[in-house]
Amino acid sequence: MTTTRTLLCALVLMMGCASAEVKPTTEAQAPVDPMAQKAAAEAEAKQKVLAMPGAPDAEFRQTQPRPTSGGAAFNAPVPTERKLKNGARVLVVENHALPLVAIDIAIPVGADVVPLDKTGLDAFTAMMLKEGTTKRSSLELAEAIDDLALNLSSTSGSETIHVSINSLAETLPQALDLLAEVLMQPSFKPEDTERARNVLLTGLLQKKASPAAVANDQAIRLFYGPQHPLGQPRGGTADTIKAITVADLKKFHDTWYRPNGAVIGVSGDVTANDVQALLEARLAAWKPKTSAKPKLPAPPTLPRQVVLVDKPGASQSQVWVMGRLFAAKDPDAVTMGVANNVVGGLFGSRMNINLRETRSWSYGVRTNLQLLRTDGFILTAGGIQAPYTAEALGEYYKELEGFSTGELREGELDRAKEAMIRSLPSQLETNGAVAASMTALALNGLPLDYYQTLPARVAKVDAAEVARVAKKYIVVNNMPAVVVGPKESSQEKLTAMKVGDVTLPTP
Amino acid sequence: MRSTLLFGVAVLALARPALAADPEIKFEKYKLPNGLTIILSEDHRLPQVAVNVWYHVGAANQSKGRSGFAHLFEHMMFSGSKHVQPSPFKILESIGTAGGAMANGTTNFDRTNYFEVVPATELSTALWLESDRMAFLLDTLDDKKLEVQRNVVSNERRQNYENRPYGLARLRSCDLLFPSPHPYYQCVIGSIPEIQAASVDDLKYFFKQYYGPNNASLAIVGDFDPIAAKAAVEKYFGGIPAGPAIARPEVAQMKLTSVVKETVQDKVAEVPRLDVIWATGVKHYTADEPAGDILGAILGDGHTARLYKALVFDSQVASEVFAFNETSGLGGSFQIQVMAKDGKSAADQLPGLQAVIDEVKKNGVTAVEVERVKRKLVADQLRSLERVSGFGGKADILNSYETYMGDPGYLPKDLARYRAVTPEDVKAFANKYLPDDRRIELTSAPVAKTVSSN
Repeated sequence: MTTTRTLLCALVLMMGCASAEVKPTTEAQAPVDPMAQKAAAEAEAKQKVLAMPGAPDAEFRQTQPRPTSGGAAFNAPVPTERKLKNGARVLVVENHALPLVAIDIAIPVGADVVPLDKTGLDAFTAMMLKEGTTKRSSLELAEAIDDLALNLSSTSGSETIHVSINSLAETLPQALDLLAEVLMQPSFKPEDTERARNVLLTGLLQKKASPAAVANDQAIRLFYGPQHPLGQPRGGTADTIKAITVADLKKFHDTWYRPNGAVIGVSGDVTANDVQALLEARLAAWKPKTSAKPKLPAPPTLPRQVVLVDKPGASQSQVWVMGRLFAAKDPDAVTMGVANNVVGGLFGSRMNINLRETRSWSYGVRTNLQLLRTDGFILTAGGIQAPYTAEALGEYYKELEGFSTGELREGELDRAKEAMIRSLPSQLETNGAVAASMTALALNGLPLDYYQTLPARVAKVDAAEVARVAKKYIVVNNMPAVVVGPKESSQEKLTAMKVGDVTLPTP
Repeated sequence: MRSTLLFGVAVLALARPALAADPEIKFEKYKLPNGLTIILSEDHRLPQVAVNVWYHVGAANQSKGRSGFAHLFEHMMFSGSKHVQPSPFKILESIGTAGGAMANGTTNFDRTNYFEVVPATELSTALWLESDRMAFLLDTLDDKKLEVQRNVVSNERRQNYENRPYGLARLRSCDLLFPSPHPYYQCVIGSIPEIQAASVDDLKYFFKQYYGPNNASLAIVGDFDPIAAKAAVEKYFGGIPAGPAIARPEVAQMKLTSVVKETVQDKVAEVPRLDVIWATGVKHYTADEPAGDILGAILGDGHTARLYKALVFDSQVASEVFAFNETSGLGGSFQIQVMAKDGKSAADQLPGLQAVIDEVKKNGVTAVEVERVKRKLVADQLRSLERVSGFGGKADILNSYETYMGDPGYLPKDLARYRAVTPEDVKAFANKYLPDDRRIELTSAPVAKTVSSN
C-alpha cells in the first residue's frame, strides 16, 4: 500500500502537483497577475534549492592526500638511430599502441639563410611544396593526400624547415611516396606561384590584425637588429613577397632542401628496420649538396626601452618584455627552465598571480624560454586591459627585478621543479610530439637520452643555483619592452615611468 | 587521363577491407547512489592519469540578462574551495600538473568540463580537488573573488573577441541565430555588462541547482588500479548529497523568414570576410547531423573542398574558406566563412559561393567526396585517442557520449551514423536546410585605419 501511494504521489508530482492541489471553488477570485505568479513560484523554487543541505565535512578532506607509493617511473623515449645513405639521420621511437605513424623531416635552415631583400622566401617555398609536384597538379596532390586521410605539412621557422606527416600505419608506404614527392619534386608552376603569392599577401595583411604577431615582429627586430635575416618581419613584407620570382623559389629549394644535416624523427606503429627501408627506397634520389650559410651580423645590445605600436581604439594592449639568454645546449638551460617556472612559466607563477589573479588586468601573463641553436631569449607576454598598460609594464619589471635578487618564496622551488619533471609524460604523449622532440634534440646538439636524464638533472637544481642564474641573466636594464595598443591611454604614462626611451616605429 | 587514373586509385583504396578497425575505448561505467556517473578506462602507456568531470550545464541554462554566466561560473571553480587553497592550479602545479593543456576547464552551449592529467601516484589529489569544488565551493566564495573573475572574464572577451579579427561577427551571429531570451545569445562568452552584473547569490543558486553529483559524470583514464580508484571515488564523492532533479532546457530556435544582410564594422580586421549562415535547427545527435557534417567538409575543409576550388583556386576572389555544420543541444546552424583576397570585397564572394550551393542542390555530391570525408573522420577519431585527456582525448570522448547519449561506448555507433550517409543524404540536407531566401549574410568590414604618426 505504502509503495503504491508513494508511487502515485511521485507521478502526480511529475505531472505538476500544484494544479492538482488547487481546490475547485465557486468563490469570485481576485484577478491574478500571471507574471507575478510565475515570479513567486520561481522564487519559491529557488529558495528550496538554496536550502538543500551541503555535504558533511570530513577529517580526510582537511589536507591534500599524499601520493601513493610505487607507480611506474616514466620511461622517456630514447630513439633508435639509423642513417640513410644520403647522410640524413633517422631517429625512431616505436609505439605500437595505435595504428598511426608520425614522421618529421627537419632541415637545419630557415629564415636565417634568406637575403634581406627576399624576406619570406623560406615560408613561400615551404608553402609551394603543397601546391603541386612534377607528377601531380595542386588539386591532384590535395586529393591524393586527403584520400589517404593524411596530415601533411611543410613549414619554415627561424632556423629549421619541417616537412611532416601523420599517417595511418596501414597506408604508410603510400604516405611516404607523397612525402618524398613534395620534398623533392615541387613543380613551382607560375600559375600556382601567383595564386599562392596572393594568399600570402592577404595573410600578411591579416597579420597586421593580430596584436601578438605585430609585437613579435617588433621583438625580433630589437633582438636581432635590422640587418639580420631573423630581425625581419616573419613571413616577409608585401614588397619582398611581390619581388620573389619562381627562379628564387626553385633556387632556394635546390640549395637548402637537402639531406645535409637533416634529421628524420619517426614515432609510431612501425619498426626501425621497416621505416629505414621505406625511407631509403624513397629518398635515394635526395642527394646532399653543400652550400655555405650566409654570415650573420652579431646581435645588438638590448638597452631597456619601450617600442610602442599604436592600435587606436583597441580594448587591450599586448605588453611584452624580453631579455637575451643562450642556446638550447647551454649548461644553464635546465636551471633556467626551473627559474622560469618560478617567475612566470606557470599559472601560479609570480607574473600571472600578480597581473591576473590579484590585479585582474589580464586574462593571463606568462614568461617563456625560447632556446634555439645559436641563441635564445626569455619573453614575458600578455594581453592587458588598455587603461592599465603602463601600470602593467611597471609590474612586469617589478616582478623581474624582484626575481633577479634570487630570493625564493616558500614552495616556489619545489613547484617549479615538479612541474618540469612531471609534465614530461604528457608532453611526449602523441607521436607527433615525440617525432618533433627527437628532431629538436638532434638539431640542438643535445644527447638523445635527454628526456631520460632530465628528471634527475632538474631534481638536483637547488635554490642557490636558481639564484645564480636569476642574478646572471635577469638584468632588467637589458630587457626592452614592446607594447602594441592604443597610445592615447599609455604613451604619456610610459614616458613618465622613465624605463627608457619610448619610440613609435614608423608604420 | 590523369583524373581517370586518380579516380581508379581512390576506388581501389576504398574497396580495401575497412581501413583499420573502428577505434574503440574499453571502459567500465557505474553510478554512485547520489547519481554521480563514473567511467573508468585503463591505459597504462604512460605513468599518468586523467581525471575529467563533465557537468551537464552550459550557456543553455542561463537566464535572461546573464549571458556569459555559465563560463564565469567555470572560472569560479578555479578560485579555491573550502579545503583546496589558494586554488586548484596551485595544488596541481605542486604535483607537476601545469595549467593549460594538462589542467583546465571549458564551457560550451550545453556543458562545462574540468580536467587534469596528473602523475599516476597523484590520483587521490585530483579526486580530492574535484570533490572539494563539487561539494564545498560556496564555503570560500565571496564578492572579492567574484569581482576578480568578472574582470578576468571581461579581459578574456576583450582578448578573444574584441581584439581578435572577426570576433564581433561571431558574437553577432549568435545574436542573429539565437536572439535573447534564447540562452545562446552573445555566444558563451557573454556581454561585459551582463558578466559584470553577476552576483554571489547568482553563483550560489547556480551551484546548488546544477553542480550536484547527479548532474555530473567523472571519467578516470590512464594508469590506475581500478579497485583502488573505486575506493577513492567512494571516499571523496560518496558523501556528497544529490542536487535537485534537473529538467533539461527546451527553448525553440527562431526560424529565419528572409535574408538578413548585416555589416559589422571590425576595428581589428584588415581583410573583409563574408559569413553566410543558415539557421538549421539541427541539434546534435539527431538524424540529419551526419549528412550536414559531411556536407560541411565537402564544401569547406581543405584544398579538396568545393568552395576552395571555386573561390580560392579558380576565380581567386578569396584567400581562405571554411564551412561547417554547428550542432548543439538547443539548435544548430550551417556556416560558410569566406576570407576575401586582398583587394576583393565580401560581395565579390557571393556569386561563386551561390553557384557552389546551387550545384550541390541540383546535382548532389560524388561518392568519392563522401568516402574521403568518412576516411578522414575515422582517422581523426583515431588520432584523438593518442591522448588520455586535455582538450579532447579519450576522457572527453567517453564523457561526451555519456552526457549526451547516456552511453560512453557510443563511439562505434556514432561512426556508424556517418558511415551510413549517402551522397543522396548530403544533397537532401543541402536542399532542406540551405534555402536561398532564409539565411544570414554577415559582412565583416575592416574600418579604415588612421595612420598614426610620431
